[in-house]
Amino acid sequence: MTGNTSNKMERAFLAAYDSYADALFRHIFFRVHDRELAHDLLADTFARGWQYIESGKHVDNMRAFLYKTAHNLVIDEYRKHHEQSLDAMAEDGFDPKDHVGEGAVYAGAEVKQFTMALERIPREYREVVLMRYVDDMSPEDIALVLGENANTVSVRIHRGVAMVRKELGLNEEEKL
Amino acid sequence: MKDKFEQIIEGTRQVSLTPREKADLRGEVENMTRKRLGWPAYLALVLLLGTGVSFAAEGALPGDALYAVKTSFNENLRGSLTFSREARANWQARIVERRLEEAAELALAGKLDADTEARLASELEEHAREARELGDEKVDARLSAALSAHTDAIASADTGSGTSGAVMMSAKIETGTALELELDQQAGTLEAAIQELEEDLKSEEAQINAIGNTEIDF
Repeated sequence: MTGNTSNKMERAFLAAYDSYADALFRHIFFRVHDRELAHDLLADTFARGWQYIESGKHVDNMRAFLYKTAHNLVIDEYRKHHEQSLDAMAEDGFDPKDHVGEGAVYAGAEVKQFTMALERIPREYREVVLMRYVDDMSPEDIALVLGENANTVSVRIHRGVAMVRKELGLNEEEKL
Repeated sequence: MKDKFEQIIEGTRQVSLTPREKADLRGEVENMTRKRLGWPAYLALVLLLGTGVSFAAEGALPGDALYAVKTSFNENLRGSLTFSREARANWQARIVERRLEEAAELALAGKLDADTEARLASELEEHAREARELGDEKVDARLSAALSAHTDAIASADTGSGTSGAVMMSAKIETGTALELELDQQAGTLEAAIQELEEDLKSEEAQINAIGNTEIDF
């Protein structure tokens, strides 16, 4: 009977929700800059993820799998609405800020600057910088999400961070 | 010493779901995993809608033998395979449209009796409420558009036969919409409001009949 395995799967999936929902939400938010859209995409991520698992496919690395699912949904979303740059949005009067609670999302001007800086670097660098630093993922996991090899990812992270630092007017630092 | 970059990164951690959002979505994920539908259900849906009874039932109207298959089976199955809030709202709105389409079709054929009309209206109210709860302004607009398009159709189909049934049906539908905001109030208030609206409609009905008499020549 598959009952037991299914229950195990359910529990594992819910545990993954508990562990990664916030981080995934953050990741999606920093890529779409829209709280509501980020929330919907997060819900879709878990819905798609569960459909995949339910179809009997095996998932080794739940975290990387969920990020990959979210990543694909974000890309679909970009394609739907063309890529809207944050600069263009700012010209239209868009000011990235949280719409819920105490407006704590872009808590400081610095985080906002960081977001703007991220928007100004090419997408493939933006993705890896977000995953490496904001989501605290290893280059190996990022490689799994993107379907690239870990070395390529490491190089990209390095370059991406240098770009962000430059945008922010910070000095290069070897330590990173 | 933390450098500036690291401080900024730490600041980004403040972006998160509210505890409420996190709990709500967890509930949804939990329901989804309990439903145990997924792939087999998709397969069933494709097979059923592709062939056979379920497909035949899609065209059923109230009173047809397959109507129950359409509403209880097809619609529920499709609903249970819809996960995002937006998709669920749209599906509920689609059901509202389906009920309206059925009412219009029956009214056109002169077969919309009081029982059917009451059943359709109450079902419609229920789905409209659900659609509104789940959806945003886009869904509201979709519902309003569907309601006004179909109530016109139902009313004009009805003027020829001179019965008030379909007009009452549209009245009830509109009542459902208008009363949406007051639903939490007691049932008594609701009934009084319906009666009031029905009275309003009598004069409207007279007007429609007058128009029908001059424009539609049987």
